[in-house]
Amino acid sequence: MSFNSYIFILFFLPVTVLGYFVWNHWQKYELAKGWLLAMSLWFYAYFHISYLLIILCSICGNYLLYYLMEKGRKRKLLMILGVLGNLGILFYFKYFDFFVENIDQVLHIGIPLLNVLMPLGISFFTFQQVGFVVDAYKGEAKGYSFLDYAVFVSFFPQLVAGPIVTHEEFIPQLQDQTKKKSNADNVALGCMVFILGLSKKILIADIFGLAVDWGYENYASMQSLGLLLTSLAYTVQLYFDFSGYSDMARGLGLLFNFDLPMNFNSPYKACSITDFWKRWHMTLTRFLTRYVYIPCGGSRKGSFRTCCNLILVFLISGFWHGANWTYIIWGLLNGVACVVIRLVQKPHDRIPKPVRWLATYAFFDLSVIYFRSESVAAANLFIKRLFTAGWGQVPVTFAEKFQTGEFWYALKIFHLTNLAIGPYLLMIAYFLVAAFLLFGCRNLGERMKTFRPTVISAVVAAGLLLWCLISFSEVSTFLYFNF
Amino acid sequence: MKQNWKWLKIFIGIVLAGLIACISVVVYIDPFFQYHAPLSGFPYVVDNQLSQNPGMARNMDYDSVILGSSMTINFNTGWFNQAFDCNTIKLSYNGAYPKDISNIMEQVDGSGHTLKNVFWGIDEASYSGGINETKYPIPEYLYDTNPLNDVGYWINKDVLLDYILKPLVDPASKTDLAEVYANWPYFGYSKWVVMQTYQSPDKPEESMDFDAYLEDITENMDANICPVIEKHPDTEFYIFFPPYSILYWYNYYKTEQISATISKYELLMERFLAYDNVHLFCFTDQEDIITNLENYTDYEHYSRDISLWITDAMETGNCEVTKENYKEILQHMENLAFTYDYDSIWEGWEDYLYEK
Repeated sequence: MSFNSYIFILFFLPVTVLGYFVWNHWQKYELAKGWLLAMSLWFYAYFHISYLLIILCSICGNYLLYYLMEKGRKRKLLMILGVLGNLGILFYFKYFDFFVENIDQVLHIGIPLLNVLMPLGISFFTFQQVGFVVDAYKGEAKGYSFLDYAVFVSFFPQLVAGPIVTHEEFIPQLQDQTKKKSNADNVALGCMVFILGLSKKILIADIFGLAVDWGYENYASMQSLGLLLTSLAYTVQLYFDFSGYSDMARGLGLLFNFDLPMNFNSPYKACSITDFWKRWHMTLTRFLTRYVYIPCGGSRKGSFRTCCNLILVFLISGFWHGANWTYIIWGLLNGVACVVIRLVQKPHDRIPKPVRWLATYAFFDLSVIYFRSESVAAANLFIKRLFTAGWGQVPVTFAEKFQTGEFWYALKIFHLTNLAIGPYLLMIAYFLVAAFLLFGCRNLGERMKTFRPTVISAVVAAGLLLWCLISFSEVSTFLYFNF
Repeated sequence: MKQNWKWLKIFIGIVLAGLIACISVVVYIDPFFQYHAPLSGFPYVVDNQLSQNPGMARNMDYDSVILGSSMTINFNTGWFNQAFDCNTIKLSYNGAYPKDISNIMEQVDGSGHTLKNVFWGIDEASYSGGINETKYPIPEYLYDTNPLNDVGYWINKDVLLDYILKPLVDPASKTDLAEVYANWPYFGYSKWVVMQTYQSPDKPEESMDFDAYLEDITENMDANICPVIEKHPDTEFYIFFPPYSILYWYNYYKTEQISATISKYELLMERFLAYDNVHLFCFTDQEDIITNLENYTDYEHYSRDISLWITDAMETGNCEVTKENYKEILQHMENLAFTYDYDSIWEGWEDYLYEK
């Protein structure tokens, strides 16, 4: 089930939290974990019942390998088996058809496609378990019970779209006796963080998403200004959607007294692309650094090898996001940009900060055109038209996507809709609000440290939750579910 | 810790109060008529067939219904009330498939209403799809009897803003229930309007076999249509084939589907004529009407005047199809479709054509 659903917020979440702490209160600690596991599996199976079998097999298979490693048998072989097995499952569900299509384009031998349904979040729990198997081999994961491990993988807040939590930051918290009692500080903060994340998703990302969808459907007939706004709107949507999900996951974790890692740290404030990647999807960057970049030699084997390693990491990152050349090119572009910045670090640092910031944001804005487009040719045409199609006007239909009911009535009451600029007012307002939140505010991670439980914040949280709840009727899906 | 408990109490209190207020307002006013008939003083807006038809079917007061596609939305229910001495409600769905009809009739039957008459427009083009297909995805929670999943109705921004706040602020937006959904057209009725938007289909590589659709239609009749009639032996069914414009026939002429279409009509007529309580009318071959494009807003949708004429025809028995004359009507239809001078449509209108 989705976080932005009535059943999740009004039923699943209260029941799950309540059940967990009731079992713990009665000192039935294993039952509490079992409850969390059962509810997490229900959460996952609610998307599609067949997912349940896949995740159960994955959890059992990986734990079996861990168990055998703990017994000290052929540890390296088991580790290799675990890594290849996890990646093999990911390949089967996510990449098989992509490879077949590309091979068939060259050989024309008519290999049939699988057309298999890809389980949501498989990329996330695969990487999580690859990391676990490698750490188990290194002897860094000792004494975990099956239940601990199963809860670690399936814990619903992080299951389908991250953050990619590591065993050493989760399982010790699950075992910690001091975290078994419900804590009002964490519940209040957790509610606040969850609601702010939900608001980012429902009240901002989904609205921009409507305009982005329209823009990417009509890019071939749009002029530069419309295309520029479409691409900028997508950067807004992507950030608020994904960081909103990550915030919701953190908030949910806090309800159970678990501290989940931060996944975004104001990435659009970055002044270089290397800085950007330290702030964007931080747990993926951490995983790729720890399990790809460093094992490949990191920066220890000379400049050329370092550059190759960087490109490799970003290629994997791009491909991880989706089985399409668009993602590979997006990853490659970011890898090359990181290499270039690394090679010209000193002159780059002498450029005024605002210029570096603008260049970084502009680069990411251009690169995500590949990320969002259906094909490389479409992305190329989008970019070509962006620079050559003439300045033009913003299509009214694009602007109308921002005319949400609640604000549109406000404009009507003040007779602002009759102005020539009327249809554009809300679009401008949404962009300004997004810019303020992105560049003029502390991010949620920073705000969490100074959260004060005031009456005003309670009213704001309740108001935002009610606003989100009545907005659920509008269809929306999380962008990062399919990665 | 204490401050946080207080915070939680305030937060939960406001959320619960907000939810209760929201749910109470929606259930009390009930703009989708899920729980009760319309309140006498509230200016209801009725413009959403998918969401409002099931509630209207369950909770409004009526003894006759209008069923069908956008070919039926121009009717004023008062015309039928006067002509047939009944109390009619309109339950049309734009582009209705047989499953849509079957779905809404389930709602009617479940509500305990006894039907005196059913006025029903049949679009042959929509009767050859899948038996479980609806034209548009329906909000199933408004069609079932599970009150819990109505949460999507109780806590819904569109319901609050467009169906409760808007009519309160602007009572002029109130819908006349006799004219529900009669919002067609946007551009008026004239040959000029029709020619502005008409695009003829491409000629196919092969002509359609005469029996191409018969199996699908039979399945739809068996699964969705005939059970409705059989379930209501005491109800009079006034079923009609609408008078689409001559361009409708031109489309079939150009795509070489006339024979296949006539076969569809033949099958449909034979199936409907098997019931004594069905009064079948065919307006599809009414040359005087369908060749006058001034009556239309596009190649198939006709004006209110034509809708009124249909009502009169059904009252007087004009254009009625019987077991004795249906072959003759089909022959007339076929002759018209094959022999009409289609070139005459474009005489003087060449400038308005996309492509003839």
